[in-house]
Amino acid sequence: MPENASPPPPLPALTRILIGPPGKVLLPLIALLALIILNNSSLPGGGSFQLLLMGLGLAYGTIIVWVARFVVALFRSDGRSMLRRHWVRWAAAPVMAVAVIGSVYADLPFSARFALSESSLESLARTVASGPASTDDADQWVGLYPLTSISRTEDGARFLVDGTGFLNQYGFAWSPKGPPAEESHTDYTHIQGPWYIWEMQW
Amino acid sequence: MVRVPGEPGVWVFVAVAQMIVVFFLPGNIIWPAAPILSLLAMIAAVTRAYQDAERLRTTDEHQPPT
Repeated sequence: MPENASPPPPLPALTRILIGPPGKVLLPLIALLALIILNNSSLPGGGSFQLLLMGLGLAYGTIIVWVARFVVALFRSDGRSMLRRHWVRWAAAPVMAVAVIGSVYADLPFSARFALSESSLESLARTVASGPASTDDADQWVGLYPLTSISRTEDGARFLVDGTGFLNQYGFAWSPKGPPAEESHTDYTHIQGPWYIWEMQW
Repeated sequence: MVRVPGEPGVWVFVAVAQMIVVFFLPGNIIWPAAPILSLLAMIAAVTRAYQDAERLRTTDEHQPPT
């Protein structure tokens, strides 16, 4: 550059963002989307409907923005050099996507969260099951779950997980003597051992 | 290459506007069409941004030193 040449005029912010690699906005949004998906799939019944809607909106936006920027960069010589230079930032989103989809497909988030909370949940279930029949315990965090509607059943205990489902609500039932008794607007799905997913239908 | 008309911001707006359509007018035609329109609008925005950057660079290279 000649000594007296003026510096190149700065690009408009939007232009700079669109031609640059994924950075301070797109990557955190994709990480947030990954956390929403992992959180929702770690809860019985799939987590809250509001978070699901937010996740869908985020997925729609981030996928379209990432794909469009990648495709255009791939087809332009000035874009390809940028892809090579910042390949880690470009690879971060697909790597996160594969990791999240793989773990959800293998049911890892639910299994891990339940396994980490199982001893605390069992301890609460035993306490509730041995207590008076009419007592409803206060809402509380047990293990990694915010529990509500903690109550005793005929052969054990059951509790709903706060913020699950849209119309139906979901939680856990502990019933060591076999499946809990059938009731209207209620469904139980066996998980493992004495544990069942409790679905309270609307 | 053909210069993309409009500004990147306008194309980004067109891409984002499809999300409103998807959320409020679900249907057999709208669901597949809106994401495709969003993607095409986003591709137009990014292409135009590259063209603007290239034009600025070229203009700067051809400017006589002051």
